Amino acid sequence: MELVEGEDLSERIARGPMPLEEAVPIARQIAEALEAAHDMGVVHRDLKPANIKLRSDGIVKVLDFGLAKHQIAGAGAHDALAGATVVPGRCSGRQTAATWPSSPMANCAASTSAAARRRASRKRRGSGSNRIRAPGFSRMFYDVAPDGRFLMMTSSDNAAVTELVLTVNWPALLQNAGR
Amino acid sequence: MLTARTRLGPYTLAASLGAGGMGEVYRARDTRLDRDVALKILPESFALDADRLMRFEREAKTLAALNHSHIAQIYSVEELPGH
Repeated sequence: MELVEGEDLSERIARGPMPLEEAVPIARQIAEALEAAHDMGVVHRDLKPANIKLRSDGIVKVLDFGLAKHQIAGAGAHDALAGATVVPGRCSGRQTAATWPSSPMANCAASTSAAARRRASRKRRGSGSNRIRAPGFSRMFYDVAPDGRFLMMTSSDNAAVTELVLTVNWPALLQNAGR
Repeated sequence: MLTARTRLGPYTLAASLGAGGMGEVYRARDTRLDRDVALKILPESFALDADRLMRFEREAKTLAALNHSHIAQIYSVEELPGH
């Protein structure tokens, strides 16, 4: 396999807080990798900081598809990632927990596109059976910004990346954050 | 665990990069193409386990199907009896 030199994301997290300017490009590249995998009907299923390599030139590589599963290609298969935006959000865990599940995103989303809101609403109604699930993604970035900040990806023309965030199991995430 | 300088086909092991449920990963030199690679090895004891072998092969095929600049690429799969 390709040898990827550099530290992994878990080592980077252990070194100390990551400024947003550093975290956002990492998150974006992981999202691009996941989106490409999802387009092929592949779900990673073992997404964690130790499986993300950070090269010194800024290139990020997702490793270890050993637990990956092929699923029927579904949501987001035709969305291009170009034009997707990553925006930082601020979230008080307590607020979110209090409002779950009636409006899980309401207090979190600093900036949410109309499409993302529609999807959040659809999620609450329980429809959309072919959503992409990658809970490790946001959990990872909660670790990156343990002060309560998290990264939210949203784009009106990119269903897959938006779904990555909206299908996160927020109660479990917040429970983990309370460690 | 294999030691450094062990030769496996065209590969010469340099160092262990880690071990997991799916085998061991080594930094190695591909002497045929003169480049450093990551070698994921399913030990023979694991390879005899049909389920593990199947998952290992599935991972290889999955990676082969994915061609993306942010996903570590697979170069090849080799079977080396006797190791």
